[in-house]
Amino acid sequence: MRTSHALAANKYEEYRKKARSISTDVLPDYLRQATKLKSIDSSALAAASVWADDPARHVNWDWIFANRYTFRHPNAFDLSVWVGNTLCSLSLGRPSHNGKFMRLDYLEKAPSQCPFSSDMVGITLVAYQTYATLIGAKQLRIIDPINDKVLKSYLRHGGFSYQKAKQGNPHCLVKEL
Amino acid sequence: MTTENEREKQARENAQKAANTLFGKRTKEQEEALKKVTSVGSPDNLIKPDGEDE
Repeated sequence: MRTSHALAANKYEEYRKKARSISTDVLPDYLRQATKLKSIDSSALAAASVWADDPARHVNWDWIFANRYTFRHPNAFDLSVWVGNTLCSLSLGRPSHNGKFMRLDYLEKAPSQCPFSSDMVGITLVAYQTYATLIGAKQLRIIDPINDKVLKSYLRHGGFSYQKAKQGNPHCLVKEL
Repeated sequence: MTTENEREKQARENAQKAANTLFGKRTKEQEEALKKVTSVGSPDNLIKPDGEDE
């Protein structure tokens, strides 16, 4: 690993830890007491590997890739949400190249056993928004959300607006920070 | 120039506001719809363009 890469990795690792910690602090009591916000580490990958055999799973995403992605992009943000020993959700995103906005690129919830299932999107958004502010981004974007109808209805209350696809760029939900 | 401390303070304030909104009162329909959301976005998004960066 080159020195500049290592320095960047350390700097952003501090931001990631801080974002997870602040986000935990601001959650409602019932979530703060029950959940843990962590990185996508080896234990998260091991827990997620079980999802592959779950018939209730709707996607076939390779989360081991996330691990390589955060190494290649030291400013990316990875999040795993746990309730006790149960992995409830994983998500991955990165800042835009000029750092003006933070992207949430994808999120997956545990297909079957997911306590606080309806809160996972909210927890994830608080964490991504916090990381975005810490690194100086001005917007949070949820890129090409496949279930945007549900999200649009919910997120209107959270200050997000819908941005149509334009000039080859994907549609997204946007929040000014 | 924004200092690290100011950014952290701002991040905490924004996080609290977001949490208040996102975990505030939800309708039954919103609650059910959110339960049904099993994934958002896609790994394909990682290779999609950045918008303003282009």
